[in-house]
Amino acid sequence: MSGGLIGIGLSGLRAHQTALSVTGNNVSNTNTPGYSRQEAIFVDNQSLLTGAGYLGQGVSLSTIRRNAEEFINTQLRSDTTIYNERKVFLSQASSVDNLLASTTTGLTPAMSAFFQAFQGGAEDPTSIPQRQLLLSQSEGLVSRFKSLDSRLNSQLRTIDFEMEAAVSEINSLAKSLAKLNQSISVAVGAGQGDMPNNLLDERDEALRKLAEYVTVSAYPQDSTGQLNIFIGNGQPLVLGNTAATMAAVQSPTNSSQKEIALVVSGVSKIISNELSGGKIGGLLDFRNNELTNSINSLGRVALVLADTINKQHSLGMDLENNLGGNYFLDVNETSVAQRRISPNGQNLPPGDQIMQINILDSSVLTTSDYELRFDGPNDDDFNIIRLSDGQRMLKSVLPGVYPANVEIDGFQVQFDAGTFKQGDRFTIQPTKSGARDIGLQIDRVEAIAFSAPIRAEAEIGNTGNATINLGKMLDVTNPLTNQILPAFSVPGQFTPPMQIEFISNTIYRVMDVSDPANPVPLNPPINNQLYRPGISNVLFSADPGEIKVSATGTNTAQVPVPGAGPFVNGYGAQNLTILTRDVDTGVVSSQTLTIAANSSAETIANNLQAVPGIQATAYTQVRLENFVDNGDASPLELTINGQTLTLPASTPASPDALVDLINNNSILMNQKIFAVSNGNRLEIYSSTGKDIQVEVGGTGDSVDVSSIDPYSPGAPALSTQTVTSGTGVSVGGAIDLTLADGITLTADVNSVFTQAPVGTSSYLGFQFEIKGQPKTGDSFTIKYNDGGVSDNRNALALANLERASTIGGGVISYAEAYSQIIEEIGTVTNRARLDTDAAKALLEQSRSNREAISGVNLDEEAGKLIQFQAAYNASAQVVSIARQLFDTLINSFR
Amino acid sequence: MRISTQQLFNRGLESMQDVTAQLQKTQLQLSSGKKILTPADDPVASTRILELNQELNINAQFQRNVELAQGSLELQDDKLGSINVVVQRVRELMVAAGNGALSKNDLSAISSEVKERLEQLAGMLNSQDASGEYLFSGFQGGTQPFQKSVSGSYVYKGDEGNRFVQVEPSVSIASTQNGKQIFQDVAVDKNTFYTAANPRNQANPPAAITTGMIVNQEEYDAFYPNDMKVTFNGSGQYSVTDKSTGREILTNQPFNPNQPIVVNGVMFEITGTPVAGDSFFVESSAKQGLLTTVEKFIYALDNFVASEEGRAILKSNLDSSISNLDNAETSILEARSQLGARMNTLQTTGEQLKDVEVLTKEILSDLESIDYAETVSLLSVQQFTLEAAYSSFSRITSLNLFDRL
Repeated sequence: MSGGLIGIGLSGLRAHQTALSVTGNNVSNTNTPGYSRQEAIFVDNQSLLTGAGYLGQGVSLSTIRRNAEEFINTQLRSDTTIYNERKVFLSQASSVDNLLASTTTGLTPAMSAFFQAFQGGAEDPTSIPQRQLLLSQSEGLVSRFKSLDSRLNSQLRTIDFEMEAAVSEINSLAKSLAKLNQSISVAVGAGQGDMPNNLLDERDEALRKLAEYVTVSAYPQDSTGQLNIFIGNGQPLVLGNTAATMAAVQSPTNSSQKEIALVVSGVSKIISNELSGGKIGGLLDFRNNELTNSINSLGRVALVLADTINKQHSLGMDLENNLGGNYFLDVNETSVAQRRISPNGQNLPPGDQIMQINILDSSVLTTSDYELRFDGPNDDDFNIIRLSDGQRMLKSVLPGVYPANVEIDGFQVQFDAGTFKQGDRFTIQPTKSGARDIGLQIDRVEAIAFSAPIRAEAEIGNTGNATINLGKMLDVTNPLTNQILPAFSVPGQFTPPMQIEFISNTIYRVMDVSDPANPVPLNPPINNQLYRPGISNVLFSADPGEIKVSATGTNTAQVPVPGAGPFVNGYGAQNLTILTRDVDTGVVSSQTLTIAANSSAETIANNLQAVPGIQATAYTQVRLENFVDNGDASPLELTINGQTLTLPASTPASPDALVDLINNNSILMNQKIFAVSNGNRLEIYSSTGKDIQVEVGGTGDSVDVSSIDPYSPGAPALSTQTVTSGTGVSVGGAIDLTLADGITLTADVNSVFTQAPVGTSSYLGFQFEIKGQPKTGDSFTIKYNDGGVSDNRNALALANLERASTIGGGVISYAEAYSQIIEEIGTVTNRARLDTDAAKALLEQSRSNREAISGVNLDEEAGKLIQFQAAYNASAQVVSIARQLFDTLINSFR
Repeated sequence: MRISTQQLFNRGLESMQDVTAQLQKTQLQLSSGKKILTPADDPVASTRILELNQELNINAQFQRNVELAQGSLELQDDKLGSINVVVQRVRELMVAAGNGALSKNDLSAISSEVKERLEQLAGMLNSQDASGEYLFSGFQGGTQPFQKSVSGSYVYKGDEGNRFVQVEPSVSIASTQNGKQIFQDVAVDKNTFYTAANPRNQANPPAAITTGMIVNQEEYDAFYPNDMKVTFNGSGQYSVTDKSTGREILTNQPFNPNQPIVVNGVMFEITGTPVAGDSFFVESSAKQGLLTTVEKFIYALDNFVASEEGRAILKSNLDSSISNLDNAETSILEARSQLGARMNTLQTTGEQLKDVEVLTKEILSDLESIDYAETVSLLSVQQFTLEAAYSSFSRITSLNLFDRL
């Protein structure tokens, strides 16, 4: 070039001016987020071949380079994602942590106060102020449960809002990323290889912002410079210059929360499970794993508390002599129970199902949610899955008739109506709303049941030293049938009042003493019970499924026609079939007992007693009256079971004369046979159910022998035979059976037992114990505890629930269950703190790495300014010298 | 490594924020005195703190129970003490009545004092506590325990309930003692009986049966321990049967009110007009209530017949009355010694509870209280760090090449 030196100088001026601009731009963008430091790249111009060789032709700028490293940006994004996830998780966890721990907002103080009020009630059960205090502490506890629940639920709302905000931010970022993609591809085309640095910076910054919300991966699209952007586990967000739309939608499985969905041509597909990392990942993680669990756990504490207090309270009696009933609202109130199950939003129509979840055994409830799935192949086939561990708890088929129910983990799914289609799903949340649904049923202080409704007394005339305890309530309703037990069927009463009578020192029976002057047998009877001195004798059955069956066949209680012997009781042969259904497995096993003809009640009872689950009692009662002695030389002489009763000469046979002979006969005594006389008639008992043989000696004499109905009031004679001299009879006994839950008994013919003996439930719902040594004639009465206002038994039982292991399979107490929630949240928060610190350090590191490459250092730029200015000045000097050279040349021609 | 200017500022600021946050936490710990501010600070310790606090609450409740039980036992002890004084006075009167020289008038004078004493005793046995609950009626705190029956004799209307209070996790102590145990279940030296009307009797006004007395102990001993039932039929006749065997002892006797019925060595009267189906019980007993003993004493005094035989019956009745009263006194003393033993136990329990409280508080303090020396020195270190950060930050950021251009 002709202008050689000037050209070179000018190229220097141009290049350095631009370089100064680039530096100036760096300085101005020092604080611009996402800005990458730029650098002007100098190249020397193409040399010119001269005689002296190649001569340099100055400088030019090849490009303005953006100092950015894709690898480091990717790293920064991923660390941003992790840090934001942990940070959001921490902030959510901390707020629950603070809520639960504080002594003013936590559950512990309210619960302690509640139980202290019960203790106070136990100390002074009639005190109205104490009861008032209990009532207000109960209200305090209920409102504490509710406020904790609402705080936790409002946390759910907050999470929903934050997710909505995140989704709208993601949507706007996605849109700008799509636009940037387009602009970049245009700019790349126009720039013919030069990159639009600022657009790239903007896009990287938008990506980094996106990474705050969710895991992001970006893949370059060959030559256009566009990026395809995916979130989570590969959900496409931006493809080229089109952006997808996300939305926060109602969860189909859980109507109280939202899920993230990807909207593709108007159809939203839920992708919450595919998303991880970032704020959204942190929110979902906290909500699904910690918050839901805390709400369920708190709900479980409330539910178990309400259920156990209700059960105990209903066993009590209030100040007005009424049974306690529920203290808190019934945990299985229909509307509450129906809310525990909700249909999936995607179920097929008609969606007419009516179902409810009843809490049966609150002690084994878990904190998990469950899913009821109709997985097919038939519409009625269903599975129940426990969501906490994914375990299938039950596989069953609907029976087709309503109501139907199935039971797992302490609750019962009750199907009341509706049609089910394959593919239908229902979410079961047994404990979630427990803390919200708890409420007080009791509203009057008088209705608080501190007393127990039963009491017992020893008759003051008792001559033995046996004592009866005050009794323990087991149930007011039969737990199997849910029917109110007969003893409590009339409010404010105990029907019938009972009396335990000792008919010998070791045999007692329980009588109905509605009329104290005329005790009658109970129905079902409790006759001929063996009393064991030295131990505490439990009087009643503790098995709600137990039934009583008595031998009331055609042969029993009949006195055979007298004869010369051998003497038999006339009981026919019989085959008894005993079906035993295992209560746990439902498996039915069968066994047959053959009873030989003329077996004694004692033998039959012993055979039956050998069958597991059967308690058999046998006893024989025979009445002898109308002793007729014709006055001849041979007096009336009786032989009882082979023992001839020889009266002193000149003493006529009479009940009073014979009774002592029987009671003092050591052989009969060993056979547990004894007699009672009232002057006119002699009654002979065998407390083990031996046949009683009566033979009449002498000549021309007779005695009337009757069998007695042990089940009817007044013990009437059922069948009577006149036994005359030289003949005898053998009278068989009665058999009472107690069959445990699940046992049934049938007979092939009607002889000892009827073919299908009718069983009567013998479960009374309370228990008494007698210990000590009673004497014949002693009695104890059991009656309603009316007026028992100073009784604190139920208050003590209620207060004791505080420390009872009632939760999680009977392992932990209420307070421990609550501590577990706190411990869990505390641990999670603690871990989140550490995680957040670690993630922050990593993010810091990545940022440093990025800044090391892309960040602007003002000192550096100042240095460059000086450097470029110097070069610019020098280049100007070059131009000036070139001009001077030119001037010198021109002037030489002047 | 290149450091960007932005980084220089950010890093300085962030580290200052970190130190400030630590400083604030230390300050909160100092001002609250607590090491653990939220469960996350130490999840295990904070659960333990909750448990310990609950233990303290329960402990405080138990201590309160102990105090209240002590108060209630002391009150009962007091009452029993004063009852005993009256019992002794009645005993003196019994001894006095044994003087064979006393005339029927003298005896009726004694009888009128004994009647006064009976009312006094009954009043004491019906003592109430500060809140109006009867002390000796078992669970029937709202029911006066010793009431006059239609027959005019005192009967126990309470029950056998004893109230327990919990004073330790597995220890309950009876804080009340029912009147039946102390005053009713008193052994007698000779077989005795008590009378009662069937509560289902229909007569209006109800017919009554008197306390009665034994007129022939030997005859009664032969019949004992059977019970008798007196039933009325429609024609104004009564029958006496053996309650358990149904043996008829007296059949269809004409009834004459106010005329004593004597059967099996027992004498009693039925007053009023019983209707058909009404029944009365004469229950044999090896026990006799304190008030019944006094009533029988009165009955014997009032029914004294000045004859050889009358004196013998009176003497025999007095002998058994005195020994029955002694038994009653023994029963009261037993009850008092039981009360004493329980008060003793309560005191020990109360002391144990206090020890446990102190220990629990110590553990709690170890867990949740800060070590002031340690925390204050930590605070100074943090303060120093923050100051250092301030000064270094301003120095570093004031270095700038542009200043030199």
